[in-house]
Amino acid sequence: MSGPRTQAAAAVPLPAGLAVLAGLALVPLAGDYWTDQFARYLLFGLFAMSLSLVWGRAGILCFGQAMFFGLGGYIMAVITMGMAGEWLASSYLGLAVAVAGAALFAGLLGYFLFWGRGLSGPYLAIVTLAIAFILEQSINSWYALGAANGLSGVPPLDLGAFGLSYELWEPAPRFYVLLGIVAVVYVALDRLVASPFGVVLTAVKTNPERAAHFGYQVLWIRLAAFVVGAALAGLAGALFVATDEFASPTLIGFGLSTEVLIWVALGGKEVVLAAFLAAIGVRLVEGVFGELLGDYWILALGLVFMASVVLFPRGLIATALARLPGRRR
Amino acid sequence: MADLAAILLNSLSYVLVLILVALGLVIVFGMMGVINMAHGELFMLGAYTVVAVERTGAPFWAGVLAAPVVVGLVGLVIEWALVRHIYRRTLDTILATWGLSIALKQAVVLVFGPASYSVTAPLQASLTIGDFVYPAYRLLLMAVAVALIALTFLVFLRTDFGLQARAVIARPDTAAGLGIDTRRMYRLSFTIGTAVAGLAGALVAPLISVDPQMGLGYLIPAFLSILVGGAGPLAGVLVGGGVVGGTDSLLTIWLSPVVAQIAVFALAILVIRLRPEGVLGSRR
Amino acid sequence: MLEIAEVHAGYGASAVLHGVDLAVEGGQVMALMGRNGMGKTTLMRVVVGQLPARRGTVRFKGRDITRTPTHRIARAGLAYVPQGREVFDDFTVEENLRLSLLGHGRGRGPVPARIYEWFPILDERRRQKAGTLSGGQQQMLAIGRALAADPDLLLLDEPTEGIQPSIVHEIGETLARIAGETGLTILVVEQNVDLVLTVAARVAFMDNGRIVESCLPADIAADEAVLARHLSI
Repeated sequence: MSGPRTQAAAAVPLPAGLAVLAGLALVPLAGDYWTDQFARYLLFGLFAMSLSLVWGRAGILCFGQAMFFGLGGYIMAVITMGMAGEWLASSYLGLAVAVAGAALFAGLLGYFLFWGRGLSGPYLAIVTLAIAFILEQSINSWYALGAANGLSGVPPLDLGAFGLSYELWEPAPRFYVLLGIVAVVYVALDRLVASPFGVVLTAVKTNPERAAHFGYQVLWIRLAAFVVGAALAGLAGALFVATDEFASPTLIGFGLSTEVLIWVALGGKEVVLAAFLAAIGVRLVEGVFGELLGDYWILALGLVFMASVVLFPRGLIATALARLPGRRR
Repeated sequence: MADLAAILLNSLSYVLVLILVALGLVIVFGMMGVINMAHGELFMLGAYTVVAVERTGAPFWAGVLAAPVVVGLVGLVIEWALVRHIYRRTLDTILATWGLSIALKQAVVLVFGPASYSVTAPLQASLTIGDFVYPAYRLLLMAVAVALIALTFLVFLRTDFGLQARAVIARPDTAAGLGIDTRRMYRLSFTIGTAVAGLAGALVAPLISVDPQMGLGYLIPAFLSILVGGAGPLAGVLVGGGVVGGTDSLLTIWLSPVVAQIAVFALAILVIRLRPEGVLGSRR
Repeated sequence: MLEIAEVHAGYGASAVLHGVDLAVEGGQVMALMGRNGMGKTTLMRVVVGQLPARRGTVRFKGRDITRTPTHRIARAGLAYVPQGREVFDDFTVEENLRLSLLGHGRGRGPVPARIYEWFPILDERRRQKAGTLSGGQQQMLAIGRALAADPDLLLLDEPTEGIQPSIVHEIGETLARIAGETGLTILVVEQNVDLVLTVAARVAFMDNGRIVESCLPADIAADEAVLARHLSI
């Protein structure tokens, strides 16, 4: 009988993930263009991992995960562009405030959503949809933040401190820094999922009433996962605007929330690595064939998504990973 | 005074259209546990049917008659190809129909282009009572909407078909045990729900800008109406639609449409959180 | 009338029925007894098509109905009163009865008078919502509803559960009367010995997903050991 512990342990073992990351380390060999592209794919992968935690492992179907991504991005932009004060313009501070800001917002929002006889399942999905809609409309009209045009000229990541400066605008070094961050997050998430907290999370996801009877504080557990997910999304967003040097409403909007949902659903929401790979995969395919297919790309994506939900509810990549020999199922 | 009357009437027309859209949604959800995120796109398809029909030179009313037929057929195909595989898998239906909505939106973009269209109202006349002037088409729209809503309630609550439908909603296994073909019920209900949405879209077309994104702007308030109203399956929609639609219209007196919509959504979410059973109670 | 052969079925990974063989002849009233969890309700659900059989066949009036959908089985003349009655609480008594007629395509006709003869309380409370009836009255409604479309076979799952003894007896008498008047074939799953003795012509016992014994009611009345074997813990 598959219980929480076996489910948690059935996630892809660490070596497979590390192998993928090692493989990605070879990307710069393909030249500057692809290095830059993959830098962005990495961050989308990070973003997808955040949703995988929130949705796949905590069972919170959030239609607006991009709000945390975009929030992190805008905070990073505001701080590093000196809009909050020249003396505060530092990449480290920007990242810290972006992550903290996203986490704080998630904490408040999550509390509102999960408190008491909290929202769950489809009702939660609809409400998060409405909230995402609200946020997109709001940012689009917020002139101080550039409204629909966004904020351009966001400075790249600056690794320096104490007066020294080392800006990351060369593709290869930037790629490796991002890869390093993503690797750390991946390992941490993997450990988290396999840890006692991960087991409890799965228990809460599968049967919240029973978990509550056992004395678990369902609200705080859900909130913790939601906040961590938001923090990761915020981190991804902050890193993204520093890489793209541009913050726009599309980062907080509906379109991106939908896209990340599709990536994670296609890949496999319960397996962090699958979600990560799917994000990279879909973006890569779009990068390669997008020009070719033009407007048909979105149509094809929608159709594939539909088919995947009906035929492969666990996700294409996750289903494939589960079939690999030696996998414990 | 005349202004107030116009505002109230505008409010009423918005509420009525919202109720029409929400009715289709709630019937499908109550009956098959399917949350149809593409319902807004079906509404959109109704409007585009009118656009397409007008392009052939046929009159507006031909488009309005064609819309429920066309969209109903689309609904039939959707039910057969997608929905029937995911009955009662509510969370999966959200995702699958979300994918469908993306595909439908893009299909429309491919055929009609991303820009918006406007449809001319068939009646340019206005009703004039002293100081008060109001477009006749809007009044006609409201009359038709009221008739449709009343018809839906009539069919649901007073006919044998409605009795069977409500039985299937309440206890599907027991209904099947009595000889009722639940599959046929599902198919019919889904088709009717989509046809009504298409008709609503067609009727509203002259009043708004017809573009591929218009569906979401009606889908979310429709959902919120259902959740706010509670009870149901039908009475709650009336109340919820009234509350959500009415508040939106009232707020546009003082706020811009964008801000008003934001405010309404936020308020609706608050109500849903603070009173999960909905205004009429006993929702979950 | 009803032939169940070698039926295996279960839920998810578990198997509940391990090869059930049971035959009910036309016009006969058979009772199926056994402790809780032995598979009696599962068997009912397989027969009416709510649960697929993994192996074996179910034949009704000579036709194989193993893979037939529930509503077609109902229309073929097999009526089912599930455990817990499952009346439509928000509908009136009359609407509940009419649903059966509608399901069988007889919506135009009135509810047959005999239903009200057999269960006069239903006539009295025609316009009352089914949810306001007592347990015993709801049971009568459920049975009346099943009979409204003139079935050939009636399946009853624990009709006396949660009902006071006097009503149990009344139901038993009425069922016996109906069977006598119409020659209806009845298969009733029941733990209540009283009802079984009143109504049944044969008794079968189920244990661990199999039919293990079959006898006459007289045998039960005469020898307590029979019951003790199959019903006690």
